[in-house]
This record gives sequence, structure tokens and C-alpha cells, in this order.
Amino acid sequence: MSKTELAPIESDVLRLLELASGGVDPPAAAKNRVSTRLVDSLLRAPLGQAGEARQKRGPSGTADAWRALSMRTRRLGPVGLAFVLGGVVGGGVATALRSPGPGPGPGPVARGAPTGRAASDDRVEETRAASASEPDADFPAPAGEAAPTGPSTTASTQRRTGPGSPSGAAGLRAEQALLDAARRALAAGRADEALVRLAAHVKAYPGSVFAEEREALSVNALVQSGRYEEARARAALFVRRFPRSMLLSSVEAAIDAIPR
Amino acid sequence: MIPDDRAHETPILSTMGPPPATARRELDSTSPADFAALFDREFAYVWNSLRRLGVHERDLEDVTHEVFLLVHRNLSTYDATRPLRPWLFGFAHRVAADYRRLARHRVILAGDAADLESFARSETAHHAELAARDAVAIVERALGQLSLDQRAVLVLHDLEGHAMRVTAEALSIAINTGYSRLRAARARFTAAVRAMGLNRSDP
Repeated sequence: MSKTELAPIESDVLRLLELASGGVDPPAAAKNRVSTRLVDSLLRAPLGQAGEARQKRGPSGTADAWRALSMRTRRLGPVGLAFVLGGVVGGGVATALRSPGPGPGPGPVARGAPTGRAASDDRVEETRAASASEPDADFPAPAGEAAPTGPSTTASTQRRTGPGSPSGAAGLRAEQALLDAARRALAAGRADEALVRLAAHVKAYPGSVFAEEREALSVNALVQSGRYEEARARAALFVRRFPRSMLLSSVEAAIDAIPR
Repeated sequence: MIPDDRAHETPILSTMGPPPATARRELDSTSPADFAALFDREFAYVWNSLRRLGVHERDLEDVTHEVFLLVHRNLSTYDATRPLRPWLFGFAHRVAADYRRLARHRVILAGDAADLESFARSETAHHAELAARDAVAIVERALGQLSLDQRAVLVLHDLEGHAMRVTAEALSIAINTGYSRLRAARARFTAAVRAMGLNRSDP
């Protein structure tokens, strides 16, 4: 059989195919759940590229994947945020990301297992957490910035509990909310306020899975507030800690914007 | 005017072209960012491809997950000079084939004919009045009357508009085999949509 023997498709059938060519929009929650399971599977993968890459680069390789995925989707707005939160709730991703050792074990992810629910319906309340824990060794809070005062139960609880539990998920939502508040302040030109919020984030969540995004925001905020030397120092730390970051260009652009 | 012998190699539909040029650059198999971007951009495509290949609604998440795992393991084999989506479709086809081999799924698929009759009774709108959503439903029902291999060829060639060369390559078959399957697929597909009440519009 060759193409010359092929009768053309009938016009009305062709029209039907045209109408159907766009397909359907998959449910956002389904995308969230698949992404969660996918990252979870890649974190656990004992063999293949994911495992090999992890052996070569350490566990942060797949952590970068999740961060890249989450950052990309967060830019999509509420759906993206639901994506991230759904992943956190359902997959135990944060635990895996923070674990310095190998994943919980080989083998495929069980069907029907963790199903993170989209969190778009949840009210995300900004949490001010100030009394938490040890400072971040790499990124101490900028000198002279006092963290907002207030209860910090979210932060301390979040560290003690797994992210699959409600309190763990709530902790991550609080982390995200604080970071979003800083981002909004920066976008509105209130760099000093953004720095205060970012400092609070450092104090409350020194080992945050959002540290990469937080530090990139910090560099930008420092530049905007005219604290150029601090910005340069922080940028240098950022490059050292996140050499493959998707946010490198943002950090570099901020430093380039410093008047010479 | 396009000669007849070229018409079959010309994408039938203009609405489902290849992915954006940015998707064509070389994918770095060790770059999580590349994979994350690919997932974000192509999730809907893989999801819809699996639907068209007969994966049941309730299993779509599981099977989509499996496809992307397979894609991740094979990113280094992607040839950036080739269109991305047919390459992705090849994985979807393989995973869907495994899926359909399971007996529990065959039971479900066996119900397709009855579903089609039921659908035909409920479907009365003329094709020109069909919303895209209805068209998707009809096409998916009609695809249910085809074998998996026939579906794959018809979807890639007629629904997505890829040339037979690309279609055959994605499915790892000879071009002539592709045409043979396409002929049979078109005949069965057309018969199925006629059975659902879609009549020829033009006298």
C-alpha cells in the first residue's frame, strides 16, 4: 500500500476531526497529582537517569527539578499555586527534598498512592513567624533587620511534622505566603518591606525548599533599596549555592542594574 | 493546488501543528528545568493522546505518569531536529499498548460497542452544529472502534496532521504499513461516525 492508493478522507469527517483536534483541557488537579507522583518517582528512582544524576550531583538534582517545576507553575497564578501545594500535600516532596540520603526505597510508586489535592480553595493566610530557630548558615538575615514579631507555631510545627500531614502542608503554605507577600512588596516598589519579610522568612524557615527563590528575591530587593554591597555579597552566595538555578539570570540582571 | 500525491503528506489540519520552536531545541537529559518545562507544556498533549488511544478516564493519571517516567528516562535519545510531539506520542502508544494488554482493561474496552450505540441514540445534532466538546466525544467514541495501531496512525496523521514519514517514524513502522493502517482506520472511523448519526452534509 502506498500513498497514491489512499483515498482522501471525506470532508465532513475531516471537519469533525478539525473540531476535535484541540482535545480537552485536563483537570488542573489531575496535573497536580501527576506532577507530585512524578517528582516522587524521580526522587525514589534507584536506577536510570534520575538515579544516576542523583549519584553524580547529590539529591539536589531532583530537588532542582521540583523547584523548577514549581516556580514555573507558580507564575501561572492560582492554578500554579495549587500545583505546588497539591504536590506538597500529596507527595511528601519536601521531606524527600530535605533528606540528604537516598529516597525511601526503590520500586514504582503504588497506583492510587499519594493524591495531593489542589489547594486553590484553601485560604492561604500569611503567617508571621519570628521566634523560630537557628539562622541559616549560608544566608543570615541582613544585619539591622528585625523580623516581624508574632507567634511562630507554624514554623516550628512544620519542622517536626511531615509535609504529608495537614500541619506540614499548612507550614509550607505559610512559607509560600510569606514569600508571596515579599514579592508583592517588591513589585510595588516597597523594597524595605520586602526585605523585612524576606528576613523573617530566613529566620523562620532557614532550610526552606523555597530558599532559592527567597535568595533571588533578596538580591533584587537589596539592589532596589540601594544596598549594593550587600546585594553583591548575597548574589555571590547565591551563585555558589545554586549554580544551576533558573533564577541566575534574574540575580545577574539585578547586579548589572547597580549604577557604576 | 496541491497535487494528490502530496496531499497525503501535507498536514490535514493546521490547528495542530508541531510544538513551538522553543520545544525543538535540544533537550538536556540532565536538566531538570528542561524536563519540568516539557511536562508543563506537554501534559495536556500526552493526556489527550492517551484518551485517543483508548485509556479509560479513571486510569489516565496513572498512565500519564508512566509515560512521563518513560520520557524522562529517554530524554537523551531525543533528536532535536525532529518534532517533539510525535516522539512523545510514540511513548504514549507504547504505554497504552501495555495498558490494553491487561485483561481488566479488555473487559472495559469490550463495552465500547454498546457505549457507541447508546451514544448514537443520544447524539442527534448535525455535525455543523456540534461544539468542539461534542466533536471530541464523538471522535473518541469512533476511535474506540479501531485497533490501537489504527488509532495511532489516524490520530497522528489525520487528527494532528503529521506527515506519514513522521507518523511512521514515531510508531516505528514502515511508511507503507502506515498507509495501509491509515486506509483501514479511515474506513472504520468513518463508518463509526456515520453509525452515530453524522450524515454527509454536502449533497
